[in-house]
This record gives sequence, structure tokens and C-alpha cells, in this order.
Amino acid sequence: MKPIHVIFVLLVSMGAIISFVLISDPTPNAAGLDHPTIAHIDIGGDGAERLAPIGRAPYWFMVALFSMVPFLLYLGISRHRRTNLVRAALSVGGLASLYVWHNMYTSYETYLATGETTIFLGFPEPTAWFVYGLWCSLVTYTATYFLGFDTFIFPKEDEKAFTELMAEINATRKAEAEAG
Amino acid sequence: MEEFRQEIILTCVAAYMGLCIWVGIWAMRRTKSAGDFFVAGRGLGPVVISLAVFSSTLSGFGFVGGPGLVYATGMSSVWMTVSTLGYALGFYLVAIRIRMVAEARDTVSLPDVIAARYDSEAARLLTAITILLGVLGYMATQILAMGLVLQSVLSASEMFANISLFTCVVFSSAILIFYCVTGGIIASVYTDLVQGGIMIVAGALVVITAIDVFPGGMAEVSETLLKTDSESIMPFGTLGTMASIAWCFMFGLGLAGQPHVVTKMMMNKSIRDNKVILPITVIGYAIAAMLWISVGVVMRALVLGDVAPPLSSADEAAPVFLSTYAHPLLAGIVFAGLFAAIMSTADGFLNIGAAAIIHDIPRAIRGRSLDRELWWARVATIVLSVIAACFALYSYYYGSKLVAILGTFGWGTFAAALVPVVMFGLNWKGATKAAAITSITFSLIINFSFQVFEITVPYGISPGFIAMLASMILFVGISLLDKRPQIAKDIDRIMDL
Repeated sequence: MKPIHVIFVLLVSMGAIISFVLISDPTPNAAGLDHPTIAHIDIGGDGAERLAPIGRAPYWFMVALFSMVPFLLYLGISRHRRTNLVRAALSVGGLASLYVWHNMYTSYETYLATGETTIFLGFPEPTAWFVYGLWCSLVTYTATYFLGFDTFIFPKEDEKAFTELMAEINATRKAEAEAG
Repeated sequence: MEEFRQEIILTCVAAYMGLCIWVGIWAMRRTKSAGDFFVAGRGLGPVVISLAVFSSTLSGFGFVGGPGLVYATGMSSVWMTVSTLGYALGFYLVAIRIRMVAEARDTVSLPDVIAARYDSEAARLLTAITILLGVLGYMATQILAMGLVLQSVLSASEMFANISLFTCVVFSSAILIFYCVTGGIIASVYTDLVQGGIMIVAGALVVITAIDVFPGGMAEVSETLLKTDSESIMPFGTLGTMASIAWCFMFGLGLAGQPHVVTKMMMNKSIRDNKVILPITVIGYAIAAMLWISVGVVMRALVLGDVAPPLSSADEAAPVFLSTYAHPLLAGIVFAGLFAAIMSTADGFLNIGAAAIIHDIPRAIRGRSLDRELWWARVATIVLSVIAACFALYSYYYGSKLVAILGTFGWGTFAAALVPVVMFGLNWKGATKAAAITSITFSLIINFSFQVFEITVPYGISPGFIAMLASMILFVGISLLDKRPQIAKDIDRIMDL
């Protein structure tokens, strides 16, 4: 199966999840409510109540999204450089973001069920997973880009091949200009 | 220093306006051709490009709209800032190939690149029209924001207490037009550099200030919000899970289709610079985004904890925070940064809008762009600015929804129409012309229908997200069903690298 086929399957899965959400029956606070006394501020209300009609749809949507990202990035690597090293590096990013997402979502579900959470570095646990964890997990792709730039993103051989292509194009342009 | 707060803010803003005029004159000397005007002659260094890319993404919204959204809806809008994802996709999938196509085909705009990839003038025309519509909306909102901010800064002083919005719009537009017309994209990227620098420094300082507002720091902020409405400080905010993840998808993946951002990826001097451009961009954005989160969350806790009075509008979160809690000099620098953000974003949009009018649309229709492109580019810049300013004033004084409709037509529409065409098109040889034309047309129809017919999507899901997901499925689906296309030899060789 080619990367584009995996991407297509995951996109269709996301489309199916969204279709399910759109036909479900939203609660009045599904997208928040106006604050009862203060203008220009919304409140979320009962989080468990508004999640009830859609179940774990958001969880699975993001699983599909974070699974799709490494395949999208893989598509950007030229075919002849798609080595096991590339696959391993991108998989690390994918698995890290899935791990953080899973912990963030399950700790949020636990809070909804128990009403209890701990504060970590200034934020409730699920939010700390989001603010610190998700950002850091996705930064692995940036690190992979930087570290792998000369090996599989844009190695010297590709630079040379592009220089040769530009030399051919410029020669053709010059010949055309001389011919009038 | 506190008693001179207003004077310090005014001085910083005036100094910035002066800097704009100087940058315009300086950039004019470096602008000798349409290529210089639109893509800075592809001669910019990595630091300039890095800061220009992340500044283009944040714009004035990062200073005002973002903190306002966090104030109003808690953590929901923070999902827009998961740009580490968007930047990674942009650099893995777009940056290098778009730069190579730009050099090989001597292109000056995104529609040029799309026309080269799909060998289709129809795709070029549709892309140019999409850009033009988006630009008009973005420009009108930027000009209106610029006028309103200038009015709020000036009216706080005795001398300009009764200054009208009309005067402020005319004055700020005049400076904008001067520096855009003279300096083109070179002026834009160098003010992006100023904006980016200010945002990084101000982001870090404002976060420290915000943490200090409550004696217990961010933990006390979180505890206050947990007591009043816990959902707001939970990861999905008051808008809930679906609205948040829809924003994550649209703003994360959507970055690769923003013409004002990807056009900047065509401007670097050396392709190898991309190696450092991505990390610098991500680090700069991460620091600057902290301003967005911290100010919004702290202002919400102050109001809900009965420490501060409620705001008259959510967009006042950042200005009120700065004028109440920040050191006057920091407030002055951030206000100047706000002008830098609005002006450089407006300049970037004027630039791609002017390219659409004088370069892309004529090329798509009659096979060649206008003669004396540089001269016409400057004329088109003035015309676009004046139209956008008229739109903005008409909308404000007559309560028209036109600007709001065009304004919301921005990011989501660019993402829906252009992400599949650019992101898949530059990396997958199976992407076809028919898929490109269909997905652009389809996404424009969906987005306009949602806006014009005022259709509300349940769960606070953004219509732009629906259009983008549908457009991506359609694009890949049609391409898979279609016959494998013939690609021009040079583009084919670039796609092999």
C-alpha cells in the first residue's frame, strides 16, 4: 500500500467520524453557553454531558490525524531516500504525538468522571499534557528535519542534480533568446 | 514612569510609523523589477525568512484576537497555535520544491507554481481568484483593526481626544500605501523581521508579567478557573472537543495552503537555508504564542475571580492587560509590535493580491502578464488598498456584513482551496489537473454557501474545516480515479529530488 492510499483511507475515516458527529443530537452546551452574568465570556458547562452524544469520536478523529501526519511527511521525502531510518524517525514523532494525545484525552475523561485533577507546572493535568506534551511531541518532526536535512531531506547529491537542471534550463533560455 | 504611560505608548507607535516610512524608502532602492517587488528577487537570508514566515502566521490576530478568544472561550483557541505541526508539513512538503519550481520557472506567485505543476491556466485563474477574494477580506479587516487601534491610542491623549475613525483609517492607510508601493515585499519582510523580534521579546516578557499577576502564579490562575468553569481551563475550552480539534486540523494542516506564507518560502537565497529556517520559525512562534495564551487566561481569571471588572469586548483583553499590568515601556513596544504585525500582514496580502491582478489573471486569460509589471504592481497596490479601506469604513459605519463575510473567508478558504493542490500536488505525481480544478471550485462553493446562507455547524465546528476535509478527500479521490497525468519534464525532475 502506497502512502497516498493510507492517507486517503485515513481522510475518509475522518470524514466518516465527522459525518457521525454532524448527525448526532448536540446538547445545548455542545459549543458552550453565554456566561449568565458577564458579557463576552462563554462557559463550557457540564463536559461529560456534552460529550455523551458523540462518545469517543473526537479521540478517534485525532488518532486518525496523528497517524496520518507521518505518512504526509513521508510523502515529502523523495522516493529513493525513503529508508528505514526515515521510517523510524517519522514513526517516533507519530507514536510520541499519539502517546501524548492518549494521555491527554484519558486524563480529561478521568477528570470528567471524578471531578479531580492535579496541577502540573501551572495547568490541570490534561491541559499540561496539551500545552507542554503535544507541542514537544510535534517538535520531534522539526528535530528530524534539522538532523536529517543533509541525509534525506536535501542532500548534496540533490543539490547537485538541481544545479545541473538549472544549467540546462538556463542554456535553453539563452539559446532561445539568441534565436530571437 | 507610570505617569508618562500614554506618552510612551504614543512615542513607540510614532517611532514605528517613522520606521515604516524609512523602510519603504530603503526598500524602494532595492526594488528594481517585478521579481524584486513580489518575491524579493529570491535573495533573502534564513533569519529574515524565518521571522517573516512566523510573523505572517500570527499577524495582528496574535496580539489582539488570540488573547481575546482565550478570554472568551478558554483553551479552545489555543488549538489554533499547534503550528509545530503546520510548519513541519509546510517545510517537508512545500518549502524546498516550491523554491525549486520558483527558480526553474522564474515564478513570482503561488498561481504561477500551480500553473506550472498542473500545466493548467484554469487552475492558475481559480487560484488567483481565491487569493483575490481572500485578500480583499483580510485587507479590509486589517485596515479596520489598524484604524481602531490607532484611534484608541490617540484618543487617550488630550490633543487627539476626539479623533474620528475615518481620520485614523485615512492616516494609517496612507502610511501603509506609501511603504507598500515603494518597498513591495522587501518592505513587508523587513517589517516582519521587526514584528517577529518584538513578538519574541514581548512574548517572553509578557508571560513573566502575566505569571506575576496572581501571587500563586499560573497554578492560582488555573485553580480560579477550575472553580468558576472548569471546562474553560481544560484542554478543549468552553467550545468543546469538536470545535478545538477542527481548529487543530484547519490551522495545523492549513498552513501549507496560505499564499502569504508559502510565497515567502520562494524568497530565500539558498535552498539549504531551509535546514535552519524551520527550527528558528518554530522556536520564534512558540515564544510569541505564549503571549496569546497567558494574557487571555490571566484576564479571564481576573474577571471571573472578581479581581478586575468585565471587559466591554473580548478583543480588549490584551490592550487592557498591557495598560494595567505591563510596564509602560513594554506596553509601548507591544503596541508598536501590533502595528508592525498589522502593517506587515497587510503588505504581504497587498503583494499577493497585486500579483493576482496584474500577473496571474492576465496570464490565465490572455497568456501573458501586463507590460511594465512593476509600475502596474504599484498601481494595483494603491487600488486594492483604497478598495479595502472603503470596504472597511462602509462596513463600520453602515453595519454591512460584507467585511465580516470576506474576513472569515480568509484562512479556512485558503486552506480548503489550496492545501490539497499545493501539498499533494508538489509531492505526488498522481495529482491531476481535474482534481485541482474540482477541489478549488468545490471548496469555494462550500465556504461561500456557509457564509452567505449563515449556516451554523453543530458543536462549534468551523465551516472552513468541513470544506477543507471534503476538499482533501475529493482531491485525492479524483486523482486516484483519474488517468496518471503527464508532467512537464523540469517539474518531473524536481519532484524526483
